[in-house]
Amino acid sequence: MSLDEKLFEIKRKWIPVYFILLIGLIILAIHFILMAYFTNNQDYASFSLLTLVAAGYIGYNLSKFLNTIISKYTTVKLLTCKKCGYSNEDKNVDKEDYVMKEDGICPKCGGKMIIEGIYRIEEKTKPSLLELFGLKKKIRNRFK
Amino acid sequence: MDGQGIVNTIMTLFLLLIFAYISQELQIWKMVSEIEAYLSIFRTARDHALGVTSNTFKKLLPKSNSSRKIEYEKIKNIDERIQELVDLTIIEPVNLDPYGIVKKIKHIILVTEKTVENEIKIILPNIKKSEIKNLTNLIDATRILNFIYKFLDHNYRIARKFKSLWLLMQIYALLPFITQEVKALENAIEAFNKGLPVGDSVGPLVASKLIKKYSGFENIDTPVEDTVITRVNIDNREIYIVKAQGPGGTTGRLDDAIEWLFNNIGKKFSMIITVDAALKFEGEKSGTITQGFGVAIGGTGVEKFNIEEIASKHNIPLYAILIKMSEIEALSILTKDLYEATEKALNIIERVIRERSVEHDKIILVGVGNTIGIYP
Repeated sequence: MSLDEKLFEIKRKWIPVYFILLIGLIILAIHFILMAYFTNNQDYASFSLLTLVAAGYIGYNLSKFLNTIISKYTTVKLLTCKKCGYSNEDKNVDKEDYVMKEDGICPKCGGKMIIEGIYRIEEKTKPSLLELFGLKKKIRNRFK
Repeated sequence: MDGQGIVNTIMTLFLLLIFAYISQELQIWKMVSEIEAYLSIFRTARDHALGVTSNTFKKLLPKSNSSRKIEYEKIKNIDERIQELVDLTIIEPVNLDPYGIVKKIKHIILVTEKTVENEIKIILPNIKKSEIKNLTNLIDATRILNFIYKFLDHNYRIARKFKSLWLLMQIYALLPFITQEVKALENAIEAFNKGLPVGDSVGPLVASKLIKKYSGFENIDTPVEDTVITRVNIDNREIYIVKAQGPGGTTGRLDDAIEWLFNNIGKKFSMIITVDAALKFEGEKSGTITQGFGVAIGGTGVEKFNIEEIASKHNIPLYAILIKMSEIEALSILTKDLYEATEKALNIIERVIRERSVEHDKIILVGVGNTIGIYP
């Protein structure tokens, strides 16, 4: 498990706790508001305000968790034809590949292709709610 | 003030003291738990690196028909040898009298490099030179991860032992920087294991592209170990391109190669251009190219010192082309942004050559960095 994965796993464990806390605080705030309305007691109004502030803080943190963006990387090699200059990105990068290595035949002119570059392309994805709550275990594969 | 008033005041003061104490204890608890969590992550990263290194060695072991017991002994022996290589310590020379220290540092670095490579050759006698270089890089990255974990663990234990809030605060403050470094090294393990170019390889990549563009593959020479030199012609200027020898992971001996050029080609070079990766500031975009003056080489400073010595002795201008990236990007597999930046760097180099020199000038261009996954 990479460092990013482990950090995300640690954060992810807190999502259900934050979610339950948020719901609890909202219920409590509604309760205090209703009590303040029906009893005209100033203390209940103060309690409801404090509870709403706490709910806001928890909600803000939860929204940060829910907006987590995961990067997925794909390594590709850029093949260029020595003769006609045709180029394409190939996802089949072998351990033996290196830049400036001759690799295959050009599909257009039949000339020799050369590896012009090897690099990774980043793709940013947002995990679904099910994945964040641990009900769907696809997150780990996204890092690969 | 009556008796009740005094009791209330004392009680208030007492409560305040308790709150102050609890608040500090909570702060310590938060720091300790976070440091412990990060330590466990760093330990996992170190163990993962050790596992990858060990597996890579085992995969490269020559296949034999010996019994299971002998094979088991062999594998056990490899694990012990890898652990020895990872635990290696490089002792810096004494700096009480700094005169001549650069030579001493270079000597120690070269001895370390040679010894590690020989050790790998002994364990795996039938592997290619480029694979030896990649394995050396893999061991280096694992060694640094091991050191980071041990160093942090040591400081944390000392802080806990003496219940020192200040030591804990120092470790806590350093955590973001250490995490960045560990992330970078963890990505480096993947790149070195697969033998693919990393962000730091942009310098050799630019040099390689120039060699290809101006048909310099025919003139390649290797007068200095792990370093290639080739001659190309750009707008009637003689350009000597120097880079580490790939595709194995090495940074070469660039200072020795430049010295060789001065001894064998002549002393009248009109400029030395170095192309290298440079750390960006957080707000900067990766792949931004900046120009500078001086020698763009990181590391121990030995090569930088030697090139500066040669250039100042012969009064040769030093120009630098820097490709900006983060620490993580420098050690991870090259990104597309950085790859595209090498194309821009190539254009800038051509412009610098045209604008700052005249026809028939001799110029040295150095592609600085790890040439892993890049030929020649």
